[in-house]
Amino acid sequence: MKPLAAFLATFVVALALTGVTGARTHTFQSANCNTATPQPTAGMTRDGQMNYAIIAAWDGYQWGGGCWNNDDHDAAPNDPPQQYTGGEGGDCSGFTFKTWREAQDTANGGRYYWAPLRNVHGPYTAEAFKNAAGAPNGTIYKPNADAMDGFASTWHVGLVFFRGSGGWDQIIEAKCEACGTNLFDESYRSQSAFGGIRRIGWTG
Amino acid sequence: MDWLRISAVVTVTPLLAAAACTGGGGERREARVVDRVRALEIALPARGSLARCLELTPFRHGRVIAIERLGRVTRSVTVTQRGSRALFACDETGVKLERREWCGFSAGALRDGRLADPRLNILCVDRHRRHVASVFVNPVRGARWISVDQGPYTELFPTARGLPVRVASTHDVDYGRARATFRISQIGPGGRILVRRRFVAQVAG
Repeated sequence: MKPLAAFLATFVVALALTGVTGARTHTFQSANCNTATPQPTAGMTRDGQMNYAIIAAWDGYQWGGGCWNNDDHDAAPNDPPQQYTGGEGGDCSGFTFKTWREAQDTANGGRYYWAPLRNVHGPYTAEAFKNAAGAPNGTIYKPNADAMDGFASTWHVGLVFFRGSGGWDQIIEAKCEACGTNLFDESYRSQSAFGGIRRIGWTG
Repeated sequence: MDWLRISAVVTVTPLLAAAACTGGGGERREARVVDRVRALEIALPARGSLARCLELTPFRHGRVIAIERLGRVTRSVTVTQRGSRALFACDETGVKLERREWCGFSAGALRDGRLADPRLNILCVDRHRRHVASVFVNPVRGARWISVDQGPYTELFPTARGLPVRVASTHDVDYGRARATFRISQIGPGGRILVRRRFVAQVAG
């Protein structure tokens, strides 16, 4: 009986370990996100993209991420910072890329609707947005920044939701793992590290 | 370029060494390419292509440490200042991005001399229109070279000043997912392999 008992004990331990490994590799993105083809769209309005952007609020932040649902709950909170773990939410540049309906081809300035659950980050980082890399991206004089224009620094990018006063704005941004994606009052407009950025090609 | 002081010059003529290894009765030859690197300290303002890179950084006064690398895939400059935690890299392939000499630009924050994220850039393409992925690799203590598996050959990037090493590859770039897979080894004196790892870098932040 002893060999049988030893075998059973080993088997149970191995089964448990397999289960633990399986749970660790099962991420929000692998379970929920897709790779559907983005839909080209003729138009893109600032109001429309404000509505798109607000869907991401309360749905978390993921370094290098670009996939979220609309349940106002971060399915993968408290990830380690600056590590891609397949959790829910975008990061600042992935959120901006999707909200601005950009193409993955940097030479393509067209408009593409990416469903929230479409997992895509795009090729740009915050510093790339700041430097207006890619055909759809431009820079603007900061006082002219309006709704769904943005402010980008070397380290971060956020979009104007409501224009404020005194150098402050209500910004919608994927801010950090601990603070998530949401509306925040920010003074990016008055900070020298931030430049004004604009998606080229708004139709309304 | 206004190189006022060359603090260290490590110039290894690019060479195509053939390191033969045999296995399974057959013979496989693995080509190795060694990149050139120069470590410089430069008083600002700089001129030329370095100045166009520095325009993208907050460095305007004083001196900068610049690590210039010339490799098979890219030419890059890594820039920092003494006492600064910010580390920047400009990458070029000879193919301009929207008329810019530097098609790639990355920024990272150093903590204890290391970067938490490799700061992947995939905006550059080479002359064959292949996407080029550039990342930083933190060298381990004693590492003299970072070797990168480029498929048909291995590229050796010399370390310099203990700073993260900017490496590039066209191999295993998943542009659609904004990620790239690198197979690297860190090599110490005498060719001893200190670390061998495969990692996936993701465009982020």
